[in-house]
Formats: sequence, structure tokens, C-alpha cells
Amino acid sequence: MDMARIGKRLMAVCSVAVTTVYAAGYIYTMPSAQASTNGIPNLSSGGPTQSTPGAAAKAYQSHQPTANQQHKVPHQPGASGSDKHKASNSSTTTGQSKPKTAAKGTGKAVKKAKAATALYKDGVYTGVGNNAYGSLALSVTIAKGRIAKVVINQYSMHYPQSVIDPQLPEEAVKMQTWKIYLISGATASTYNFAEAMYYALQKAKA
Amino acid sequence: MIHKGHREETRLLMGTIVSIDIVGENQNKLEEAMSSAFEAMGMVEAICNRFDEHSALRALCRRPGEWVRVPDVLFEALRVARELSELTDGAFDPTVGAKLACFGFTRHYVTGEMVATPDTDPTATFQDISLDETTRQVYLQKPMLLDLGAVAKGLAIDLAAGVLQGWDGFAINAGGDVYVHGEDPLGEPWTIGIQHPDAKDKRIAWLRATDIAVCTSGTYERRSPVDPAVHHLLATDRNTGEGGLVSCTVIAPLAVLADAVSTAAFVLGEHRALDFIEDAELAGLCINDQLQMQMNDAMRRYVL
Repeated sequence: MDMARIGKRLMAVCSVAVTTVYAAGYIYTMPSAQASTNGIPNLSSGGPTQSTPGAAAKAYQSHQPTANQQHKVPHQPGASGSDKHKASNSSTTTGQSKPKTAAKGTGKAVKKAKAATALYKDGVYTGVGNNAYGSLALSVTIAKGRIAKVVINQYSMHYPQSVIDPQLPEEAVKMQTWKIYLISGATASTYNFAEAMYYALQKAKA
Repeated sequence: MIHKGHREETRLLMGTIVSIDIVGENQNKLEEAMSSAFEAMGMVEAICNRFDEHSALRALCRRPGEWVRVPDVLFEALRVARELSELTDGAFDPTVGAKLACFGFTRHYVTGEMVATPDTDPTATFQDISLDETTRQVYLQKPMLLDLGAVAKGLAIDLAAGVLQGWDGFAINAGGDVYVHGEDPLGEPWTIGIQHPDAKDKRIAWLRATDIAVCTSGTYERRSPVDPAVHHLLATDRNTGEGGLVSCTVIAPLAVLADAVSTAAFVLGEHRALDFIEDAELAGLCINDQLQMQMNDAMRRYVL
């Protein structure tokens, strides 16, 4: 086996796979009724509700003779979309419908605000983070201008509290920040926590 | 709010928990984009799910000894899997399904149903899978239970990523396999932690990146209910994952590539993992059971 060619062979076969699957127009091969049964499983109460796996595959097969180039993924402006994705490691691609106008300015504002929050007033401050799946409330203790302690006071997310507590509070203290991040190798989301931390630290600003 | 429009949603898919974050100002379109992304992933799952007897994958497995026309998703997933098997001399092998079933990975994660394992030929390997490019047909020479887990999950992430192109930023996390694009809700590159192999509450390293996929294959997320020493990533020629390594993280421009290479590197074992990733011209980080971290130069520039 020619080791030097592994990279090119794998990249080629993977790119072709992704491009081909886009081009097959998978999205429209699912009847809308099927699409809507793909409900959100509620992890906290009873069993997951996702239904009829396999139906989509059948629908897909039954559509195959016609499911070709004319069915595009709605967000892809033409077949070049997949090429764009392929090349996405080297540049931040800009979609045609990119809703970007107001973002730049506020982005700068926040960066400045962040720099200014380096010093906090001592005290205990609370913050709440919400999304469609639950909420999280926490209190941040500031001592000598630094994040000294973070306690989650209320928790009603769709995954167990043990997934994020006490690790996120500990990380916030260790890293002295409220970053949003993802975990490769695990599944927890940190957005609610970061949002609650953000509000608490806004109040703590010196 | 933190400065960007943002939406996050979590569903059970692909045998794991899938979360998608989308960042952008167009609030009205966020929900629609979210559904489309999940639909794309759900479609791949419906076709490639080895736990669902109605999947195209299982339908194919029921028809050994004949040419079977399969959906493009399945054909392409098989093609990537077969290529990877060849490149690893069979250490990675999609015919691993029956062996996984022996070790008790037989319960459908959504319905809890036990999967009836079809009769399989224990001598089946990837070489018993033939693919015809022109007719998009597949021929299985022996009865086998295919498992496209790693490849299908990567392909699903890449499809969802395609659906979400055009947004200021998005992140897809399917059970620890991550794709990030553009900016996070703060307008910065995404921050990605690498799960600590021993402690659910710790990250062993931090990466800062965007427009890339990060996949970690490891021993610690799913353990065999039959034998706790066995995990769901099996090297087919020795029945257990190679000792020594506890996880392999790979960064690649496509999730299917990152997932395939991290899985293959992991089953190749401690002494060959990083070389394989290097040969694949990708960034890699491997952790052994002594918690020693090894990475190549390509990975170093992402590590915080």
C-alpha cells in the first residue's frame, strides 16, 4: 500500500460521498408529513418519541427515479454549495443569503465590553440562562475582583444536572471566564450556563 | 442576550445525542434551518441504521448473493468504509456488526428493543462487499451484519453542515463528533474541549478552530454490557480494541473524514495511530492509558 497517497485517496472518496449525497436531493424526498413526525424526543419525561425510522428510507427509495438534480437542498444556492463546503477549511465561506449586516458592529461592542469586565466588584451575583428545553440559574461569587465560586441554584434542562455540574462551575473558576464551548467526545451543551454566567458577570462589572 | 441571534436544539439521533447550535441575525429562519439540518441527519440514520430492520442497510444485509440497488447515501457510506478497510488492511471493517452484536450492542437506543441478529458468516470481511459504481448496486458475498456507525455519523454531520451553509456560524455535536463553522455566539472562533478519558467532568485539552470537523474515537463513551472491557469500537481481527490507546482525536475538513480516520487510527492501536493520521495528512491527538498525550504538528496549531 502506498502510504503517501492515503490522504488524497481518503479525501477524494469522502468528498465524492458528501457531494453525491447532496446532489441526490435528499431533503425533498421526505414527505412533509414524515418530516414533521421527526419530533424532539423529550429526554426527561418518558421514552423518546421519535417515530418511524425507516419510513424516510422507503420514501427515499420510492422517489429515487426522479430525485436528481432538480431537487436541491433549500439552503444550497446550486450545486456549487457542496464544493464550497469541501473547501471550507481554508476560508469562511459567505452564503448568498448571509444575514450579516448588524452583526459586525455589535460584535465589536461586545469585545470591548468583555475587555472592560476584567475587573468585577466583590459580591454575589445571579444569572439565568434559558432555551426551549429548560433553564438554569446560578450565582457567581466575586472575591478580590476574580470569579471565586459558581453555584448552580436551579436546574431544569433536558439532560441530567450531573452532566454539567460541578464541571462547568469549576471550569468557570479555573478559566476566569464564561466561554461557550463544545466537547469532542461528549455531548453536553454549555450555552445556557454561559448565558447565565454572562448575565451574572454583567451585574458584577466594576 | 449574548450579541448574536442564536438557537440550540438537541435530539436523539444516530445512537447518540445530537445538538445543533446556529448563530445568525435572521431569527425567523433559524427554526426552519434547524429542522432542515436535523432532517438531513435523520435521513442518513434512517437509511444506515443497523438497529432498524426497515433500514436500507438491513434490507441489503438480508439479500446476500445478489446485486442490490441501494440509496446513494448507503452506497457512498459503503464506499468510504471499504476504502478505509483497505487502507488499514482490515483493522477497520464495516462487517463488524455481527461481532458487536455478540458483545451485546444489540439494543436499539430509541425503542429499547433487542435486535434479532440475523445469521451471519463469521468469516465475512470487507472484501466480501462489492460495489458497482455505474449501477450503484452492492453485492454481499456472504451473509453479514454491516455497521456503518462511524462513517454514517460523519456523513450525516456533513450533510447537516451543507444545509446550514450561509449562517454566520453553527456547531453540530453528534455524540462528541463535532463540526464547527464561522463564528460562535460571541463572534469568535469556536472553542472545543477534548473529553478527558477518565473523568466525565474534565477536558484533557482545548482547541480553537472554525470550519473544521473534530472527531474523537475512544473507549469511554459506550461499554459492552456483556464484557466491560469491550467497547463499541472493535478491531475485527482481534475482537477487542487495541489496548494502550484510550482515545484518538482527528481534525479534518469533513466530518466523514475525521470520523473515519479517528476510528481507524484508534483500532490500529497506540503504535500506528498517529502515523496513520499523519499519512492521512490530518491533525491528530492520541491519548494512551497512562494519559500521555501525543499529537502531530498539524494538531499543535489548534491547541490552546
